[in-house]
Amino acid sequence: MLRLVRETIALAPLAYEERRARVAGPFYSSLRSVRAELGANETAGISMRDTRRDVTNAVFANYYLYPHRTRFFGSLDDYRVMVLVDPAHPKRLVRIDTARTSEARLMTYNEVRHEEVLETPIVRDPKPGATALTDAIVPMALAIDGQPGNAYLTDGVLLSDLDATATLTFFPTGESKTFALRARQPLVLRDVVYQITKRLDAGWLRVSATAPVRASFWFVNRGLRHAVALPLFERTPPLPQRVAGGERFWILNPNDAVANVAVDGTPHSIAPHSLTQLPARAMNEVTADRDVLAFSAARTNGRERFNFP
Amino acid sequence: MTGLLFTLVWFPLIGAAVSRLAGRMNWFLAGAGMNGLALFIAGVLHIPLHAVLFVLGVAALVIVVAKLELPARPTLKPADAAIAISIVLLLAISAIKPLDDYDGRAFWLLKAKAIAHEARIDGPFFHGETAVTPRNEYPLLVPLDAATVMIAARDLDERHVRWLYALFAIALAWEVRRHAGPWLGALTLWLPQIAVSDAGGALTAYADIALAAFITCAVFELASESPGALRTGLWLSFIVLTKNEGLPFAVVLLGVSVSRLRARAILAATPLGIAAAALFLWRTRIDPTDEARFTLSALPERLDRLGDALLIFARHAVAFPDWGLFWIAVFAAGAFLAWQRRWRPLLIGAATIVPMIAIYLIMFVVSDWNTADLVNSTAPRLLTHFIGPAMLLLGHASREND
Repeated sequence: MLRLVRETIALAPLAYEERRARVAGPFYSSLRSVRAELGANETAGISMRDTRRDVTNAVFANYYLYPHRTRFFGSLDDYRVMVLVDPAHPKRLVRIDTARTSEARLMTYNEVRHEEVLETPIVRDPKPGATALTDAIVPMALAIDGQPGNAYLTDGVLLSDLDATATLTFFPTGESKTFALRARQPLVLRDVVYQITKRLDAGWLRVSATAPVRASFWFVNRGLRHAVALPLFERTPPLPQRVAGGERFWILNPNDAVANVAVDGTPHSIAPHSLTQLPARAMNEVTADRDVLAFSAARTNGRERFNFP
Repeated sequence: MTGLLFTLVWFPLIGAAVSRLAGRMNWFLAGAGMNGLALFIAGVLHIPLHAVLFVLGVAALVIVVAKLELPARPTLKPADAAIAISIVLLLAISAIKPLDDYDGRAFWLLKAKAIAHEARIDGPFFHGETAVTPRNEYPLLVPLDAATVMIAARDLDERHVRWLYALFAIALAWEVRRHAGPWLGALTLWLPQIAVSDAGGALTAYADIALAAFITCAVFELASESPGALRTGLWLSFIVLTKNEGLPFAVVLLGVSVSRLRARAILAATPLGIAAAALFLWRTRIDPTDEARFTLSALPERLDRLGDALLIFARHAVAFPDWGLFWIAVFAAGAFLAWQRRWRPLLIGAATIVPMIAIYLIMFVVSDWNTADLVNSTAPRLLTHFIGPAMLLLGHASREND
């Protein structure tokens, strides 16, 4: 009782909300901010990083946010399933991850996804390639979700012998981000497409550096915890290109103008800077009026295998 | 402050009216019980809660004003200074310190907010459409009382209802004082489990003290010289609607009432039957969520756990930080009454405590929870439910004769 009386005397001069913030801690203060940010009729998904660990805070978030509508999500996959089946799904998540912070954070699905992606890298010890380049094409770069449980992304590593900068441009949109490289210190890029675009998207990358860099990029399937190294192209292979068939077949046009392409004699117009998927055959022979890069991919036991000219 | 003023006026007003009709009852507890009972039945019948509150208020005012009869002013005793100090402390702490317990926020007050917001007890919230609804089938008497205060304050903030829970404890102590003496009344509010526990104490928003208060009223009613059937029935109906444990408690007390009320026990069973029927009907309309699971059929194979459960439960009863020497004194009082052959209080006390402890022990054993974890996490506050019969034994043992 004495302890309670002392605590009460200390709280007495404060306004009620300040007292509540003092008693319930930064978690309550953060929920006040979340509540202020939420729209009047907005449903908030309460997303837990670890159900066992975070459920208590989730329960209190449910309490303090009422009468805002709330839904619990024990994992991001639970949320993705709901997105698929319920058009009225919450658009934003109140993220509860007490291992990271005691505060509740109002985040988008993409932000939470990116955060989780960074926690558990699939490419654990990324090693840069042997060849130093100043310009290169990464033929496929993506940050997308498959069926719940699957997520695809691109990881990379850059290493320069000199201090330099590397600009990564994501196409077809042309958004770019420049990274500083310190001499002989590898720069590991996780979920690089999201880092550049802040959204889920698929395309390809151009790497432009102020000094020669050795680099590697990987196509990562998080669901299977599987990564495939992608080749880097300083220039596109000579035409005609012969590509072994797969389940999917793409033509990458790195030019500023439309490329008129023929695949096994069938004409196609490939938009500037686009990565266009076309029907795949057992063997695909590609001719074009400009430089292009053709490649295919097939999946065996869920694992991706790429074929390049 | 609106919440305090409303709580101090509304529930005693309703209780005074009930007292006027049914005979002398604790105003606050009778008011809180009748308010919850009326709103719950109205909710089950889909009568708008705001209209029920209006009618309840007007009717109570008419009944009270028609024949204003204040209870006799109690003669103050030295022990009342101890009660006064604890009342001041409990109200001051309730006024200043925001709620920080688990069940109060996670379950009970969330329900109160939802009822106040939706003005329904089977609306979207109770179907899981607007928020997560843990323990969806918990009885709603106390949340309905809290919702009443929120409706009056036009605000869902918990700050308006903090007093309600402290006042349940104060009313409990007052009832003990009236029947068992001032020192035992004072002791009620100084027992650590009631005064300061953050799991079921007077400064939390749990419903255990409210349940204990209603049980206490029923026990003292049955132990009185001329127990009233209607009053007993009303207390039993409040007990059923306060917590899940209330139903077995009410059945046990109804059994006790047969020996005291004889045929009039049927009258006592009527409000209880209505409340229980309303509770079951309401539960058919909502979905269970994460309610505790009990597998009674598993009892024969888990009987070996009974001894452990009893031992842990007994250990909590004598745990000094929670209960001091209280339960040892109660046991001694029971032995003393037996030695003195003062059977009536002993039988009423024992007939309430023994079967309910047996039921709690069986529930511990057949629960899907780990038995030891369950006993450890609930025993201190479950013991609160027995405070009424315990005070009955202590009160009688401390008198020279009955």
